[in-house]
Formats: sequence, structure tokens, C-alpha cells
Amino acid sequence: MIRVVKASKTYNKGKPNQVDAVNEVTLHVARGEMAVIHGASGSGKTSLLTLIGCISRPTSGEIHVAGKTISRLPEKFMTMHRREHIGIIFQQFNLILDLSVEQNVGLPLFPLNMSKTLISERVDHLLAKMSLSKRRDFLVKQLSGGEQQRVAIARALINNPEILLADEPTAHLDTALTKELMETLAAIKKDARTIVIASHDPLVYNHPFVDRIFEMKDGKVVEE
Amino acid sequence: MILNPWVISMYVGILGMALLYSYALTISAQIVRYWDINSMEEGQLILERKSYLSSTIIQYGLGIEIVSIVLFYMTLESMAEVIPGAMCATGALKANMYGFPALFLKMAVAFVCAVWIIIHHVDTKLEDFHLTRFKYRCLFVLAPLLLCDFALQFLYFLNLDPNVITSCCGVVFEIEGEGFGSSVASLPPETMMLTFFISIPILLSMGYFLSTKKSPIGYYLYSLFGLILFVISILGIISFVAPYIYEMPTLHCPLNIMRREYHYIGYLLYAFLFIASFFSLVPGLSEFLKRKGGQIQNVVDDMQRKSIKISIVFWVLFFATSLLPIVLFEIRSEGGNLFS
Repeated sequence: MIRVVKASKTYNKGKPNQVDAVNEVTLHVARGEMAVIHGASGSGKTSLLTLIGCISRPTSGEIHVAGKTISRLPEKFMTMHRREHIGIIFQQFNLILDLSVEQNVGLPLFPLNMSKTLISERVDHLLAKMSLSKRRDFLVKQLSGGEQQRVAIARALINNPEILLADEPTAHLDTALTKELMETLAAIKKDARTIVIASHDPLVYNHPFVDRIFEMKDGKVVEE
Repeated sequence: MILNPWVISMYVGILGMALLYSYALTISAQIVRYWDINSMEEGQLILERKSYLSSTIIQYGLGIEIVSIVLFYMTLESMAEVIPGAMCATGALKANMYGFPALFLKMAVAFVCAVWIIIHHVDTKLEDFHLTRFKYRCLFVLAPLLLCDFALQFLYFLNLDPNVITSCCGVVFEIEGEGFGSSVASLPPETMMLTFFISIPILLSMGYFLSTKKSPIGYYLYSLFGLILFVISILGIISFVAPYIYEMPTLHCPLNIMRREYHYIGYLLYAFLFIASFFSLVPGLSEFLKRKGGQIQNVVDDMQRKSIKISIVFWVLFFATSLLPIVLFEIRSEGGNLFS
């Protein structure tokens, strides 16, 4: 499902402020697996996740995601591939605070020219799954941190992705909410979805549903 | 020089377009020089992003260039009111030596712009950027044409003199007169009608055949025949369609038919004709692009079929619009012959 071969991402190449964010990383995550990219801050976890998530392109190497080589795709086609196959939960949630829960969750479907009825049906289904049905018309800024987290997950799942990526999803959550989140992700994994989480939280990488752990340091995977 | 709001707006338009093109051409030069599809460096990524910007500017610029033919015509109509001797846009065009060349070049440029837009459209569907460099190289061929187009328009308006008496369209398209207009007007209408009404069904049959069966040579022939039919149609409009619209066998002006007193039928005729011709060009051009390899094959097959269908629809509309004044005349005159 995800195959990364000697992928690197270098910023400001050849300049004094050159940063090798990802350095010749090779990894493989099969369909239905849950993998955790573990490492300290600045180790390159988020950069690797953006490469897998079709948000940025590698400087060298190859990346295959959901049956397509994405490492040399034009940005427009990367966006289309992401829209169809990938859901992303961001560290800061990246929700639009002044929109309602329903609008935030349905947002990724608007470019797909889907009918309002179909969008509404999908949103209903996911909000019920995330126990957010009663918050449907609430503005996101009126929700608690845990609820916002669940809205972010619902939004990531709205396009029915084969791959779910989560960047430090527990960074703003207490222990109870972290456990709740991991249970939610475990339930999502049961639907044969591939999940990759970037995290340095032991409650995440020690979770029994995790199949693989990639240890990152200075942009490299030092241990699997 | 005559200054009125239309002329000033044309000048502003020319200046604006020239500035946009200059900027887009600067980026295009960088792309032609440094583009390396195999590179994964940041520089290539920046070029790709710039190419989106420049191609968008160029695409809309060229689109406006096509539409500007209408603006040019409307400016000529407003000029006809102040130029002595001019009864319509044709007279205004005849007011100096730059008028007709400006119009003809504008039409030619419109077609070249349309070709570029087709190449760009195919390129945007390719995941391997196969046509990007080629498309920007083409732009450098297009640039001198655009420059000439701007220059001729500029010179035309600059040299308009309200003290010079021009000819009206009746003289320009006089059957027994001299010059290009008269030569076309003096073509035998019956022969032109026959050519016109035989050509369109032939093209439609070709289109029907190609929309059901693939044929590389057929696609080239369809586009070539589409271009020939465009020329035949323009000649046909001057030779017999316009006289039927005016219900006067001696009046052949192809521009007066766009006026209100003729229910703006000219706008419909030309719009259908240009759209039909544009989509007729697509199959042949796409076939040529296929030879460049890459993923083009997968993209253009569907495009060829669609464009043939669209061109058929617009040729039929053009055919019907051309036929309408003839039928109406026949009904009104109870079977009379306009040219007898």
C-alpha cells in the first residue's frame, strides 16, 4: 500500500541553511497495517508524512502510494490522488473554527462535485460513528479539544480513504482522550484501512494494534 | 487619430495584453531553458508552479484575443459613424491601408491561439508533462504574430483620419469592381451555393464515421476539410448568404449582417462558424500530438470523439442559420430567385 524507496527531502539545497529533513528513507507498510513513525521533534516524522501524503515531493527516491508512483507527479495530480485515496489528521487539526462541524467534515467533498444530499448522508454517517451527531450545527470553536479531534478524524475519513495519516494526533490530548483516540483508530483499522501515525507518545506506539514502528533520527529510519 | 471610448478601450486592452504576455513570456523562456522533467530539485518544482501561472495567464489572454474580434468589430461600427463615406464596419476598415490586414491577421491569430489552447488542454491532462516544453516553444512562434496583430491594430487606429473619405461596403463588395471584396462578391452564387451545400453534408458524414470508428488519416482529413469548409463558408456568406439576408442581390457585405436591422444574425453565423471550425481542428491536431508519445494517446482518444461531436452540432447550426434567410426569402417571394 505504501512503499518508500531511498526517499529524501532536502530544503534549501546547496545553500548555507540546507536541511536534510528526510534522508534516504526506505520503508514499506502493507494494506490494513497500522504503522507508527516514532522519533524526537525535528527527526523528520512530519516531513516523511507529507511525502507519503502527497503534500510535498521528494528531492530524490521513489514513493508509491495506493498503486501509484507519486514521487514525480505534478502537484495537480498529487492533489487528485490525495483527494481520492488519503485522509490526513493534522497536529493542529487545521479545522476552520468559524464553520460548523457539518461544514468542516463535508469540506473535502466539495471539489468532487458531489450532490449536497450525498455529502449530507456521508457527514451524518461519520458524525454518528464519532458520537458527534448532537454537535452537527455547532461551530468548531465551541467544541472541546477532544471533540475537535474527532471532527478532524471525521473530516479525514469523509472521502473514504484507503490510507489514513495522522501527525502527532495526541499532542493536545490528555491520557484518557489519547486512549479513546487510539481505540477509534483501531476501529478504523478493522475496515482494512492502512494507518500511519507520526508520534513520540508511548501511548500510541505501544498500542497493541500497532503492527510496525519506524524509529527516525536526523531524517533517517534507524530502526524498524 | 480619432479618440473615442471604444478606441481608448482597444488601446488599453492591447497594452494590458502586451504586459501580461511579456510577463508570461519571461517565465516561458525560463521553462524552455531550464525545464528538466527528470530533476526532482526545488528549482524544477518552482518552474512547474510558475508554469501553472504563466499558462493560465496565456490561456486566458489568448481566449480574450479570440473574443476581441467582436470588440474590434464593435469599435469599427462606432468608427463608421464618424468616418465620412463609411456606412458600416467595412467602410471603417477601408479607411486606411491597415484595416483589412488587421482584421485578417486577427482571424488568423485567433486560430493559432485556438491551436495553442488545444495543446495546453492536452498538456494539463498529462501526468508526465510531456508537452510542456513543446507548448512553451510554440508560444515563441505565436509571440511575433501577436506582436504584429497588436501593431496593426495600433497603426490602424493611429492613422484614422476623419478628413479622409472612405468607400462604403457597396463599393468594396461591388460585383463589377476591383479588389478582393469584389472578386469574392462576383463569384457565381449558384456555384457557391452548390459547393457550400454539398461540402457540409460531406463533412458531417466524415464526422459521423469518425465518431464511430478510429482512423488516424480520417482525423487529419476531417481537420483539413474543416479548414477548407471555413474558407468556403466565408466566401459563401459574401457570395449568397448575405444577399439573401439583405434580400438584395447586389449587396454582399459580410459585416452589415451583424446589425440590429438584420436581427444580429451575423453574430450567430460567425459564432457557429468559428466554434465549428475550432472543434474541427482538434481531431487532426490531437492526432499530430499523439506522435509525440508519452501518455498522450490515452488522453486524446476521448477528446477526438468529443470534439467531432461538438463540431458536428455547430456545423449543423451554422448550416441551418445559413439556410434560414434563403428559406424565408423563398417563402416570402413564393419561390422566386434572388439572383435571376
